[in-house]
Amino acid sequence: MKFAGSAIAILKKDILLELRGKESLSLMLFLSLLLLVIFNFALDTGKENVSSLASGILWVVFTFSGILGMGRTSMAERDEDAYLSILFSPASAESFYIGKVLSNLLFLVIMEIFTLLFFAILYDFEKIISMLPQLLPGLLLGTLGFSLVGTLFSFLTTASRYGEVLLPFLYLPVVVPIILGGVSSMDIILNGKAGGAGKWIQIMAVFDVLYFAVSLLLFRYIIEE
Amino acid sequence: MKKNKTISILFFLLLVMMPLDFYLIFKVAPTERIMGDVQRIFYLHVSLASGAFLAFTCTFISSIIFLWKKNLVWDSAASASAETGLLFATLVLITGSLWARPIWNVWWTWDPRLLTVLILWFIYVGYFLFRGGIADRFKKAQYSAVIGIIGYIDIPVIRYATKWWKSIHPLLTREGGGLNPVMKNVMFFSLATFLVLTVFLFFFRFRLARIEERLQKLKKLTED
Amino acid sequence: MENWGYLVGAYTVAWLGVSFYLYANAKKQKAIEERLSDIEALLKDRS
Repeated sequence: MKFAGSAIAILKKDILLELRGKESLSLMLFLSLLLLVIFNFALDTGKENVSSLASGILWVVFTFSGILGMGRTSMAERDEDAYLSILFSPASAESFYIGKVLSNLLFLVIMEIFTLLFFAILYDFEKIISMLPQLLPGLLLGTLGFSLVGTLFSFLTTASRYGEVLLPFLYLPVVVPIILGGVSSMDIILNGKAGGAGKWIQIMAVFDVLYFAVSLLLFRYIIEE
Repeated sequence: MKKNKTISILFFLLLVMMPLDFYLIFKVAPTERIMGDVQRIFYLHVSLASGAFLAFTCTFISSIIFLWKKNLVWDSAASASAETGLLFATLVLITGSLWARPIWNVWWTWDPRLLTVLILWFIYVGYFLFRGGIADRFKKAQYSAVIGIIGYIDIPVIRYATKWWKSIHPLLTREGGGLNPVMKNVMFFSLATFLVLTVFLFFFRFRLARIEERLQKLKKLTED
Repeated sequence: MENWGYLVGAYTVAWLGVSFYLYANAKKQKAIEERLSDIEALLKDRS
């Protein structure tokens, strides 16, 4: 129980910091909004196209806003050497990792809700909100995958002199299965295409379990000095 | 250059195998009925791909052993094999493209196998970008070992996901596949030759990595 | 036989790629070996 306790303590700490004006969440939301506007210029988003473009646009926004947010939170952690004091506290590397995954997951989910809402408003596509219950499993599993890999890699890149700029180069190729799964399952459900959404959910679940196990084993190697 | 026994043996082995392989590919293997002579790229392409996978597997194993033993020799092995693998993966993509153009009339196709190699290529380019940005020798080894492991376990997932993705959006089907016995034997010999080449390139690069390490150590010694 | 260019191209690229890689590594190896023997001689003089 102590294990879960320290993970939750880290989650609480991150929420507090965010409330006190560490601006990583607001930056994420701002980027999402900006990307939605840019996609509107880049693609023909007329009434008849929105439904087929929705899953692609949304997942690109989720991916890039997510990279920005996760890169920032771990950079802040490294800058203040905050993680050092955590290392000396009874919280082990594993519960530290789980706590960070949870806080990243929370911020990603907030960003996604915000993005979905603004997508519905800006693209006049209320259907996406009414279909949210069906879309939820895919969204959650995909976001969890983002958070699992993103937390690990964002801590890795803080050690490099290029910093968070390096994050997309490591992170994007690895999460390709999640992006494929997220886009495809959402597209299948939104447009009522023939079967296969369940299969994508399964692939994303396998990805999540695999990366949860491996990251848990490896995380202590990237924060030990 | 100083002599190294393993490298010399592998070199002489290649001196025999390489010309023989080329002879088999261009003279002994029959011309494919539909695709014609271009089909001979296949022997090179598949062999290079197998070499790349062998090299990346070696990176994966060396990375695990490094995290366990904390000996920098294993990091040199991991980075040397990753470099060999990256070279081969690059050549796989180029030869794949040169194969796709005459056979399928496109330079690139989103075939699951090609896509897997492309994503792997990105992962290992990232691996070297990351290594370039860290000064501390031990941290560099430790962190890139983590990338070496994470990247490798992604291969089956990527492979499976892209395959499933393609099964929904069929674009091009792979023709042929039925190799006659002579072709099969040539293929096997070609595979063997290129696996020897992989091991040779690996040892060549590994020796360089070791000597670089020694130079760094001596430099530190003379500065003190 | 109208596609022989692709066949020759593929084998040439592979051959050039591997040769260049070997050449670059051999050159580096040689340079480092020379520097190493210089430094070793220097260390011997000092002691």
